[in-house]
Amino acid sequence: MVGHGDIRVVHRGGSKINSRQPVITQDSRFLLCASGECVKVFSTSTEECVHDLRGHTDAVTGVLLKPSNHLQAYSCSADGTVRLWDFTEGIHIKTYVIGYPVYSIYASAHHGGVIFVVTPMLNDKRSEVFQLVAVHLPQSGDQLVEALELSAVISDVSSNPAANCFGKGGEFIASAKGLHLEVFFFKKQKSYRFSLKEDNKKGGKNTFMCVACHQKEDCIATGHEDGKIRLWRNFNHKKEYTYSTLHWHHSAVSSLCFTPEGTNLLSGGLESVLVQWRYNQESQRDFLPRLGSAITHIAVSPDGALFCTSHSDNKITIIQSSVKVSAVIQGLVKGESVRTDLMVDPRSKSLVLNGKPGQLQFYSLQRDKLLYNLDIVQQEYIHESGLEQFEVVKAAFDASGSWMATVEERNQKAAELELNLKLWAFDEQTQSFVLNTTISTPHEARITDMCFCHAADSQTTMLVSTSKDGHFKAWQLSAAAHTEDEGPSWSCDFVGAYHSLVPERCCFSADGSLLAVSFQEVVTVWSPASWELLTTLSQPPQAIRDLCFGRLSCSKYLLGTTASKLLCCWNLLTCSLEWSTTMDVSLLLADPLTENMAAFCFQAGGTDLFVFKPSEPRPLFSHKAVCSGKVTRAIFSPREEMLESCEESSQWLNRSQLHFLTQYMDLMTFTTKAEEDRLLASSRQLVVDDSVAMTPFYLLLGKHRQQETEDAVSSSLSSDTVPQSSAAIKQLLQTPAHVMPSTSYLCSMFVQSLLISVTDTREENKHAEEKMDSEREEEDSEEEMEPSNPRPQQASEACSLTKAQLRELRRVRKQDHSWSAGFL
Amino acid sequence: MAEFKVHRVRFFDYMPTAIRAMAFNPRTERLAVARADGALEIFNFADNYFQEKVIPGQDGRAAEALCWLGQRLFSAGLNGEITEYDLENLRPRYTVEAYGGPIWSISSNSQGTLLAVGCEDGTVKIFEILEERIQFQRNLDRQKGRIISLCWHPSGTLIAAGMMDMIKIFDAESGRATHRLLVERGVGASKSREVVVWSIAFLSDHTIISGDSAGKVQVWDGLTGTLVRTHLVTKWDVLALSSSQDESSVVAGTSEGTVVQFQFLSSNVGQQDKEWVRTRTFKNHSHDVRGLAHTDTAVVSGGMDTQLVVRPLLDKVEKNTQESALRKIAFPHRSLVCCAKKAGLLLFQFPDHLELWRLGESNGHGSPGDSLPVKRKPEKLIQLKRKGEDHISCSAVSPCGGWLAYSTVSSFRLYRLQNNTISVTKVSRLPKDLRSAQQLCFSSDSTKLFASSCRSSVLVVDLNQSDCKYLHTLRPKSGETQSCCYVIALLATHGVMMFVKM
Repeated sequence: MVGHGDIRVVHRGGSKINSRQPVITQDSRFLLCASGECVKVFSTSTEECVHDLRGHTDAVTGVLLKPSNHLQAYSCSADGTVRLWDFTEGIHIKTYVIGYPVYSIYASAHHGGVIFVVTPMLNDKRSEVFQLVAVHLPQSGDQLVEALELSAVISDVSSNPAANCFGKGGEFIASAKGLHLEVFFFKKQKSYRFSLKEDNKKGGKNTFMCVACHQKEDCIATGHEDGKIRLWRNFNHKKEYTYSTLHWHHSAVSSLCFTPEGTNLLSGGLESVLVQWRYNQESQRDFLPRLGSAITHIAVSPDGALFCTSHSDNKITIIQSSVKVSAVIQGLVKGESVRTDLMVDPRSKSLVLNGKPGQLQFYSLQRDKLLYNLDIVQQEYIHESGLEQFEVVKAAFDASGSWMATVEERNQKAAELELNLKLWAFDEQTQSFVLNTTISTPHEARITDMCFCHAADSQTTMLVSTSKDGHFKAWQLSAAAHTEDEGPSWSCDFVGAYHSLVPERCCFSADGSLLAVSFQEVVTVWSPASWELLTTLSQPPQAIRDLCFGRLSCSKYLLGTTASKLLCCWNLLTCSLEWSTTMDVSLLLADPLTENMAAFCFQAGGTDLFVFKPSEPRPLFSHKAVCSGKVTRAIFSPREEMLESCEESSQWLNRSQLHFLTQYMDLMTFTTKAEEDRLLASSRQLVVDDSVAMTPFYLLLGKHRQQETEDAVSSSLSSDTVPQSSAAIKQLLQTPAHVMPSTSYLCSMFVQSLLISVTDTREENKHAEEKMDSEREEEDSEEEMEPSNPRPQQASEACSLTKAQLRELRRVRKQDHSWSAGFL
Repeated sequence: MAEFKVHRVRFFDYMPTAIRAMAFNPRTERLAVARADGALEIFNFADNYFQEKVIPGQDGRAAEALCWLGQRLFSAGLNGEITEYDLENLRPRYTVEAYGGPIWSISSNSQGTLLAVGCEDGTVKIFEILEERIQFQRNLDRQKGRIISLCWHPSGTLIAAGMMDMIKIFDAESGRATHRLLVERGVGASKSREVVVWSIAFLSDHTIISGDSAGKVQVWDGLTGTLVRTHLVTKWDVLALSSSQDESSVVAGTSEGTVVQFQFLSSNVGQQDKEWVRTRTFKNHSHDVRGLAHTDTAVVSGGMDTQLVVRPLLDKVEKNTQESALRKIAFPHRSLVCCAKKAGLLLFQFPDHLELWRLGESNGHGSPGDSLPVKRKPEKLIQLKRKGEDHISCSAVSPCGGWLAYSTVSSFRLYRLQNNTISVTKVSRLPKDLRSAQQLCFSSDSTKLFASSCRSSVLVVDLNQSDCKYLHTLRPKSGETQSCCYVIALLATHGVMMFVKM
């Protein structure tokens, strides 16, 4: 077995952007949102991703603007760190190690140097009990700081970030969990706890869902499971607290937010309607309906001009001046299931899968961006539960990406199955797929599999579909016979069957000369040219689950998995079983660019991955426990640029990447250490010297210095004068700038010290000439010596010059600058 | 354990009547409730919300508004009369015609010296309160349009009056209107209909709170006459308002059956500037809430659905105590049913008639829990209509089934029943002292009738075959005359009579 070494399973591309509340920056230009293991910075006007703030090694669980500096942001992660970023430049500034997984982060401008995080109870990391902890951030220049000063504020809080909120002026923090609301006052160090009844008679559910606090008045708004919003007042009394109830939502209120001035309260939920309540005139409310899907989070920009809602279909909507949707940032749309397989569009190299109902989405994994949605069904989707509507269930691309086939079906109760097979041609002009042929009811029963002939050089394109009605059909593009203006369209070319068994899978060989169709436990191999049954292969007793031809050098192998936990490899030259092994393969797929094949095996609640070549008995790579649950969807996607990994275990990732969907619909991929390092290096990092405090001025100086040292290094190679003069430079640069004399005063000296190599030799010569004039007779020999070894002379001369400068600098330094020590 | 036959009596067609008005006396903790049929009920909140007194109604008399003045209770109605009640003898003491058409509201000043009534003709009439009666003093400036609601300022110098489309503030000294506050009409179709200010509250800081037919509760500054806040509470009418004693909370009852609480809260904890904020909503009624009272610990509401609901304010009472439970008072606290055990008769009392039923019979024997076959169905023997305008206050049937008695405020009647032939004969010669009774009771051998009468005395009357004879009067010791007798119970086996005084 090959160990998985440095290959990791990570979120990369297509991760959720709606998991946490997004943050709009002070100037409303950027939107920060947690996305998988990084923080994405989007432009609010262009919807483009400006930066990826990378660095966390686990899912990011919260983003927050630093209250004291609106150009910096904190992010927290389940990896137990809080990181500080300069999000405009995309620079990582600092890491605070908390040591416990952090689930959400809060801060208030009135609590300087303290952040509040939700962590599991400190005594055991695995428990489901969380607490709100105040973390005193140490004032240290180090880039990696361990935050040791933790003090619990409220124990037993909800890990949902929306369940906690700072109140007016940071005076209190409100935290809701279950049926209780707890308000902790910092000044009095006292908390009040209010409870609601579990269930009132009318079947309303009182559980708290979210909390928001008014920023000007002492008012807490809470959203509840039954759709009610309660406004709590007078909560600094144990008994005389009071609340009023607002009710519009018919199901749980998932997010609440006050506008910064407190004039409006925003609420949202499953209804996908943003409700704006006038504060203190709650009978007046405005609605922004038809936002597409359920609202999960609401955020408001600090000036109140922009609202932003995240939605359950992985979308962030930016709403301008409370009425107009100005931008939509769409992530990978994830429904409850992907009925089409994951596919790669050969043209755009984008990932293709079900998106919005009745549509296919084209998602670029490289740019992590939704390219476009293609409406397949071309019918209005009606938002109503229990209504059966057309759904895209199958899709396939041909090798060049010029044809796409889709199958949509509607399975209405007590009615016959409605099936449509649609064939789409790629239109070069519009750069999108255009419907070419619609075949209604291509089969009598549900289509089980569909594939294009993959041979790149074949003249005709062929599509084969298998169905539960016992037939497989080959479809071919043929010129329209009747009229001239119609282009070629698709028609049925061949109908095949085998002993009235139900075909399940079909697969073309790499060169397109063979078609394998599995009929329950029998694999039939056909020649597409003559439609002749060449051979049958079978491995009883169970039905074939997956069928796959090998590629390139292994194209003589046909691999199949059976329901009886068997992986078989047939050699088509000998028509015999080459090898077989026992494993419960839930998914088998071939890399189109290499010989490699990947098998996901379901074992003991988790899934293992094996990558192997059909010709070799040993797997190239194996990874135990890739994720929990079964993996049923995965895809090899080609890389834009090849990796040059020499390690045996990671070679299979050189040309393509393997993506898979977990049971929770997370898109995961495999990455090597080298690749990660490269990515991390590409995102800018701040190099911080231990001795210097972290100031914006330092950043400037630090960069300059880095450049200088590089110059110094490069010039030291050419001549050895500079290493000595670099002492002066170092002296100059290590002196805090604010205690130095004016630049104009220093400049000449500084430049001189750098220009030494050229001027010195001339001066040297001058000196020498003078000496020659005066002491020509006595020191002839000396003069003769000079040309022979000018370098030491030069060096000493440079040294003496810089020494004068050094003295000058030291004098300058000795001037009292102890007053500045306090700043450092 | 003896064996009992259980009769299911499903033929008592008791019909409660709607609550029209309510007044709470915080000093004595008594709540007066006026019903639509003119009956008046007094509940003692200090004593477990017991329905202490019932003053039976009278045809053509219904109180529209109630007002406590110390221990005295006044009512005014759409018949244009002001009535004071005799709470000892449970009858109206006197009525005074106000000569202003129907009276919509009545309110007394906090000093207890003056009574103001708002009349249909647009006048606010001031009555002076004397020891035994009230006397008309003067009219305030007459307005166009009826005066629907009235409230005195606690200082007694100003009166706020709710009218059609406006609120007027009167100076009680001069009788001049000092401010006119225009109330906005509803939107839409109701724009053309004038808005009625159904109720009004005048607080000591000169804040006026009004509830109107456009569904608004409005907060006004009474000094400047400006509108401070409008709370749109309902689409329909806000019918009743009541403020707490400390003026930190106001409740409003709507015609949707909801009661909405407003609280005077500071928007920032620990600061002084306060404002009226809508807080809780109680929905305990199915129909209009006409009467509201804000006690220290609870909100008492009543309306068209005839129930009296005591809703405790959970911030004022201890949790999980008897006080913190919601109470609904739906049934009368005194018996309207009298049973003649030996004869198997039931007497049902209604305000305007009596019904005598014979219980059904069964000869079967069964084990406990079985339902027996009914041999004879229950049947209505007699329906006896009362004479006169006054409603029946009490009634009784003797245990042998041979006597029936009832009383109204003004008259007392005794009947001899012949069971077999079902005939009723009125006993014409009655003792002179037996004019009216508040409680009636027959002795177990049906030879004596006990009747509680005025001034807490109990008359004992001997009954013969055909006539009756006054025996004697049981009187309380002198000095206990304020209280009256409520319950007479007879422990027949011992021949001991007990009666409870309050």
